[in-house]
Amino acid sequence: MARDMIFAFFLGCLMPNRYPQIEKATKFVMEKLGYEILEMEKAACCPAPGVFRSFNKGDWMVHAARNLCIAEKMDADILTVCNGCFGTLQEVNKHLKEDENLREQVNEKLKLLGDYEFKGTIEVRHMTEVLGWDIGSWGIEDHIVRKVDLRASIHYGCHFLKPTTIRELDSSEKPTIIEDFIEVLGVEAVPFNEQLTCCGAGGGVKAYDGNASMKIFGEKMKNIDEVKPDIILDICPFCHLQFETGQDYLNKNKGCNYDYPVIHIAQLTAYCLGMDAESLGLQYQLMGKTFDFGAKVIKDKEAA
Amino acid sequence: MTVKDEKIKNSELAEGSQEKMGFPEDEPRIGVYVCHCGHNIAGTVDVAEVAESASNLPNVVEAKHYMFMCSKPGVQLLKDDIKEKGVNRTVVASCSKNQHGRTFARTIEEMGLNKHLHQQVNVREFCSWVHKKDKDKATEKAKKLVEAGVNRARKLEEVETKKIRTTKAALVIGAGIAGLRATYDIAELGIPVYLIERNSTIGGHMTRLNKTFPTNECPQCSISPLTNGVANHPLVELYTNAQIKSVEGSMGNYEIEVEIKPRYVKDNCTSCGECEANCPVEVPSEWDKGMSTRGAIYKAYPQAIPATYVRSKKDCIECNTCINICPVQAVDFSQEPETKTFKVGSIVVAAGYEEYDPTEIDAYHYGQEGYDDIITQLQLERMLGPTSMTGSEVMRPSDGKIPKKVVMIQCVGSRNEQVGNKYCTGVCCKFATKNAGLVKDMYPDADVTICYIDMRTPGLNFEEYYKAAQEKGVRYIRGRPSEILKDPISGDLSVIVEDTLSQTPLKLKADLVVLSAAMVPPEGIGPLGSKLKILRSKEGFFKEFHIKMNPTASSKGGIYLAGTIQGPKDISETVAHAGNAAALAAQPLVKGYIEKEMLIPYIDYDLCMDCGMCITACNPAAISMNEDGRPDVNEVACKSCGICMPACPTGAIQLLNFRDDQLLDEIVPIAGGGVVCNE
Amino acid sequence: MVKISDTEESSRKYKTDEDFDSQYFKNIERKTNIWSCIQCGTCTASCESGRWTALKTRSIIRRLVLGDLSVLEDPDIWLCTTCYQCYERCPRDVRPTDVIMELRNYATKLGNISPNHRAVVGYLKNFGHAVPINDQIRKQRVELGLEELPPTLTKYKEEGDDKDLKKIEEHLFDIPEKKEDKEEEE
Repeated sequence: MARDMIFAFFLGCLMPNRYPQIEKATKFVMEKLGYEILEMEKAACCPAPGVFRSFNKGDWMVHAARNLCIAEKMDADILTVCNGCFGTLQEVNKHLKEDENLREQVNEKLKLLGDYEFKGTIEVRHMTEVLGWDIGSWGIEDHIVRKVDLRASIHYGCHFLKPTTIRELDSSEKPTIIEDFIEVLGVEAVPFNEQLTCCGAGGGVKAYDGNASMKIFGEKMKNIDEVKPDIILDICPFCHLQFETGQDYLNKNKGCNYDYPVIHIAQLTAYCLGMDAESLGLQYQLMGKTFDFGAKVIKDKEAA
Repeated sequence: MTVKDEKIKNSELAEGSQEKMGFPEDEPRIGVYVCHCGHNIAGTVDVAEVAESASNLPNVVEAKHYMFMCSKPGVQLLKDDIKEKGVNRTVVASCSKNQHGRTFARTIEEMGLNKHLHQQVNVREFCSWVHKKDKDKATEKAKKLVEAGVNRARKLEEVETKKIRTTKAALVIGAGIAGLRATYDIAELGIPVYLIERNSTIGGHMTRLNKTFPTNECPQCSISPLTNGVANHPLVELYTNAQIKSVEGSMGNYEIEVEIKPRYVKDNCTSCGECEANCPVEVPSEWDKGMSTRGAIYKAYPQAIPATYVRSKKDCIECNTCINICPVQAVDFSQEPETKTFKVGSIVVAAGYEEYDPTEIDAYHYGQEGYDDIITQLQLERMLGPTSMTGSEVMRPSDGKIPKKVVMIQCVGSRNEQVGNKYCTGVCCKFATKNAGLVKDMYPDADVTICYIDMRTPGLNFEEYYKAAQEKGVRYIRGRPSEILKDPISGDLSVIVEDTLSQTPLKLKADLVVLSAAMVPPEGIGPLGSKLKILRSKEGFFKEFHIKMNPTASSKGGIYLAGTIQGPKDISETVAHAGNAAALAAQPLVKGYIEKEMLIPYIDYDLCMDCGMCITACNPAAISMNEDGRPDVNEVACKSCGICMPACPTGAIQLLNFRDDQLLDEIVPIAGGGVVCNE
Repeated sequence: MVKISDTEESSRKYKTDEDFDSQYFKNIERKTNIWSCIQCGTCTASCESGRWTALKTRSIIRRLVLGDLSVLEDPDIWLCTTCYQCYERCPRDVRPTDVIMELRNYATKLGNISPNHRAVVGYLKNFGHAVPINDQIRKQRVELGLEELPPTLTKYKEEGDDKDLKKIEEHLFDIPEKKEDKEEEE
């Protein structure tokens, strides 16, 4: 068992290299909640499940195991804020723990990458799971300094919950973990048509066939637009990228006029725990640049 | 009347018999007979060589080979050798014991030998059929198998057959169509039947149905002669609100305790209905699958038998209105539960099935808030039925409107490994076709669609029935829906399915979705099974003795299975199944006794440590601790399976003719050496 | 001989046993359950991609069961977003998402992989990331009060330590070139 209240923060690719504001917000939230966050030196891509697992499943496991080994050496569970990283690391970690033969094969190849040996001593956690279940709506309440008044369309993404037999977190047909958590922050979840479908980015499709990816995404946006939320709330930087660049694409190419701010759960929670609006980094994003969280504050402990 | 019948007639129905038990005093004189079975055996095995080799074995006085041992001249060989050569044990090397073992055993019995002194050796399935390509080795193997058989024959003991008197009465559990059929058939043979039913009325699921396929008949009309016939039969005692408490005994003689819950309404009830009309309580009707409500005092449905009203204590608020209003003072809250004990010879289990509850299939949202317009086929039956709340119209539960688009989904809880049901219920294709056709008849302009994986309509009249529905305009789509979506804005439901035949993903608007839910084992089957001590199949139903040749016997002698408690069935199949169960249950009761070979284990109490491992291992529960705290074998209940032997840590318990030393002797030649036991 | 047989062959619409290799995808069966598929279509109905693209999951599984090797060249297998909805709902536990991933492994071994996907592999080998950092984000990180470079392999490479990256490049994700088909030569 790894140490309590300490996480090895797995950055992945998109968060540090495209949305550092999510990295900033995550550290802020976790530290506010009393966790120690450690950097994982020499970590790399998880590697992304849709692409690298498609190319070579064996190498995908070996590369993932290398990342897991870095955290094992730190004696800390991994924290990730990305569904893709979670998908890869949680799944490989589970398979290698359960299958001795596989572990031997992977460890054999790991030797080629340096001083690494998978031992199976840590867990891989998604921030949403930590917030929703370890902290919970009951536990976050005392930490809230700002309650917002927002209507949000929630996008769970795919790999946080599925395959349910491997994740073992929540139902994939009617999950409630995010809804239950954000209610106490003041956010109302607005259901929309076909809410639980994919954003269209995964599985290497965004890189392989951008048009196909945008067709899938266009339907998603149409359904969201029907219920006119204040924000789109996601829990994955890749979905985040899709919602950001996708809205921009639809505006430029399909005559749409979307401007829904795309907010990661780390950003939302950070704001409610007192992080300044500037650090949320909406000014760096394509959508909702002028969206003002502050205007929606209904309870501001710091102001009081 | 045959000679054999004559023998039985004249024989004493006694607990003991004149037959000897144990090892005969005469020196073993063994006859060995190798069968050619045409080319089946002789084509591969050198039968002459096998016979020749057997003739050199100790105690073998005759060794022959013959074309067809099971033929009349073949059997005659045994007879002649017993008579002329003094052969007193036989070994036939031919087919399996199941196939012809009994033929030869019967033959030596006719010649005055105990039938257990015959040893069957299977050189066909175990030898010639599996080693066709290597005749030499096959012959060698056959020799060893025969030697093993001779070794075994040398030590065979005589086993007696006992006749055990049976109690001339039967118990039937469950008064649905299967239980009613079995009850009536047994009672008509002059055997008293105790029929017990868990619910307050009899008739089961069939009374809920609107029509039955393939003739669209009224099920009430079909079943009421039987319900009335049973309820009024002089040899039938009917107990409703009754459940099994305990079961003791074994085949032929059971003692069952039954708990009967009170109705709180006396038999002088005239069924006038004043009590329910004035009852302030309103709860969903179980019988109506929640499609209407009932009072705390109620009658499940107008034609219910018994017609006496019943009070649900759990729902009652004890306002006493019914007590005061009853014109004949039939309501009596002071009634107490009653326990009765019945002695019977046979038990028929007809506990029926339950409709699968689809709530666990999240993607279909059945039973979830806001998804009222997703119902099951039984609920649709209740809407269509003559006594329905909707006046037999199909109405959407959410707003009472008549749906213009009805989508039925097949295989809900069937053929679905995710919910643990691998099996095909086998009835749903037919009842969905029936209901779709009926809805189409009533509302010709409505779109009625059935989404299916495979249409399964085997048997006479069913393919025709399917075609008739197609001609009415029922739309069949080959594809299993992935989910039922609800538009959060309009509230409209749609069914997502691929039409696999045209490879088109479809989003079908649906005003009403009907789920063709599987048939699953009824609630309470677990406790009932452990009281009866009968096995269940992995699907959860009670397991039949043999799927082909004995589909109504349970794993325990004297307990029979009728209808859907053994697995999904339609009404015709249920009735036929129940009739067979009744015939089997009645056999020992009509005859008055059962014959039982005393091929049972004996316990060496010097070696026995009273650990009870044999008791735990014994499936038919034939071993129990006696008053002295020592294990005792119930020779009637024992099934001669021998599982007690390996369970015993000291070898104290030994099954007759399967004793350790007998089996060792048999193994020695096959294992290629060792010492034959001398004691 | 007259070459008429060639034209007949090319217009042949029916297939024979010789067109299939029923054991070719045996390893996929071992890891999933394709041979248990009853073609119910739950996967295709669940497929968000398939509603907008040519991807027909059920047909792909059918072709695998038959041993139709043309599926290895089929671009549709790259249209799955791996959303796992079919995997969740399949009544026979066929695990279609895993099937498609295994199939992509087969295709990759033959070099059947798009240039964009090759590029992603290149990024991983060069920077340790499928999506490398750029100047704008470096600036943004500093403005947000974060280290200019996250402590991942990119940073180590910039500081002159690219041992780990070299090993990854050398030992993992060796993607073969596309084998040129004879048809293309014609």
